Amino acid sequence: MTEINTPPEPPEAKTIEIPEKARTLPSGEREFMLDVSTSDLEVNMGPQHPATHGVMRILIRTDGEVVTGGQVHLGYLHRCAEKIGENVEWLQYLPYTDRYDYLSAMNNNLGYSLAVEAVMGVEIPRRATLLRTICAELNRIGSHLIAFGTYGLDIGAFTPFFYCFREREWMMALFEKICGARLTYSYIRIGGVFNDAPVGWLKEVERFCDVFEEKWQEYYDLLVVNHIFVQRTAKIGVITPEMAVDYGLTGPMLRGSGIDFDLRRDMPYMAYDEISKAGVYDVPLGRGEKGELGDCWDRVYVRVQEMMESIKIIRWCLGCIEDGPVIGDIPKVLKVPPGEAYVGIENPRGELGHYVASDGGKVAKRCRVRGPSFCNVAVLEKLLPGTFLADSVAIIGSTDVVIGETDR
Amino acid sequence: MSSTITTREYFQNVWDSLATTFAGMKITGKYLMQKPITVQYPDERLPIPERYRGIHYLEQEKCINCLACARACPIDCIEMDAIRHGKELEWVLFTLDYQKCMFCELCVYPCPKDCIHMGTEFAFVSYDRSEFNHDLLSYKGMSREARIRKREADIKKAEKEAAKAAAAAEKAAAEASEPESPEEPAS
Repeated sequence: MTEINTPPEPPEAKTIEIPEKARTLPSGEREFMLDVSTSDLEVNMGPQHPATHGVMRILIRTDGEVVTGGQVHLGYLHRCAEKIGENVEWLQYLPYTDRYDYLSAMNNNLGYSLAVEAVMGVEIPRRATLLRTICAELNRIGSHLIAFGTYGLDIGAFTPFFYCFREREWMMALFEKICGARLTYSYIRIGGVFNDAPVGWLKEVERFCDVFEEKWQEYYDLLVVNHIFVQRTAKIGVITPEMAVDYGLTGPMLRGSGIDFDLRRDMPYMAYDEISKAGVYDVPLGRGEKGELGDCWDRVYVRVQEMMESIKIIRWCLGCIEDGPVIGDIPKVLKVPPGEAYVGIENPRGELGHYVASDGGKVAKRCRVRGPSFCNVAVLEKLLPGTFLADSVAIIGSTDVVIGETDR
Repeated sequence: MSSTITTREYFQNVWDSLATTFAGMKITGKYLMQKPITVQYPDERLPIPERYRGIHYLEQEKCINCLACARACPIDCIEMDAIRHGKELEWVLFTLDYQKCMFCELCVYPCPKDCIHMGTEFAFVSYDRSEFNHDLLSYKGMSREARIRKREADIKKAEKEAAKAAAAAEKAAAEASEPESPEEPAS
């Protein structure tokens, strides 16, 4: 148990033995300072850092350029979200769910709403389900755009970041039209969605899909197959399939290692069982094309391909959406009957699980969140030792960690 | 770390780097020739959709001080107070604390009279924290129409009281002036 807060013991300081004749240079001069003893340097990739994707502190121990140990310290963004869930009413908790994984807020709202609806046993109208699916997939595209763009930024590629944000601005404008906010939507509520799509919104989503397919090809040519990017990310941070399962990884980190598991297809929720049966989309897997199976490039490849698959899902939903109510039969003052439920959904980062327990009141008894980034970050301690310091940035970026979700 | 590569691999690397770099530069070159998409804020602004969740505005005439919005707020940032005079309200306070507000729009839905809305204003800048307790009222006290209505209602009430008192007095007088009533004690 002492291992939790203290880093492991540093290895012995090495003293280099230099033979006497090496101490004299050919010119006749004598060398100074040859009896230097080295020890590992412990450095803080501290809470404030442009490349840790949030306030995460990683204690890195390096021996020169080679990293010999890494320990992740979390909790700098802890805002007691789960405790607040026990003190505010059911619907009032919805804005708090936006704020854990702030890059994909629709998915968080969705997870919470599905968990509460599972306890209540309420029927959701068809139009609400399809609108929810469209919003969740659009937000998946937006989140992967940031993951991809900022990963390029960490490596040193500045251009794809701006291109990704150009598309993300359009996605945020779409969400602004439907619910009024650009980042923390609070749109998917218990029982359905808050308001119906305005006139022309669905047409604009279709136009977004058409334009996005061209831009996707640009991202692919700009960064994914760029030789410099490949050299920096292939064969780095290799997660073997056994390791991925052992550490409980989910999402693109798991699929990048070749394991075929997608919650939308294997444990379907909402309309996803229809979508899987209709064979609308495929689950992209890492194949070790540019290096080893399960390296950073594979994970980036999986994320980039998932954007295209999300477009296919959105097009299917647009094709079969009909008019109808957007909210089910929910009383004004919501009292959830006693019970508990766990619902796990496919966040862009992995499995986001909500465990909701109710004792029949207006306020939840327990609202626990299983954040995918929290579980994915555990693998860093195994991946970082043995790499160069510059590669450690690439590995941390490829885990696509969002600290809001890690800490809640 | 393996660092030995063959000559063939070396030249393959050089060729790949050049080829992919030029492929990328073709894409950026295409955008070099186009007008940039930058919007020079604050001189130029993007249009704001009507559903935007900005600073609130209140339709004070419709509000009935039912406190539904204050109860719906997860953070309790709405404070309201009004004195009821019969059917009319005298407004004392309706403030929203924007230091707490998270613009979630949960206060807008429960309103039974549909009088609180979120507008398209988003910039709220001040040098002093006290200004963030934004006052949503357009007037304090009672409005002129409300006072007129209250005065008319008072007058009507006073008339009704007077009529009732007059009717009661008449009835008492009618009872008193009844001749040969059986209750009169016999002489």
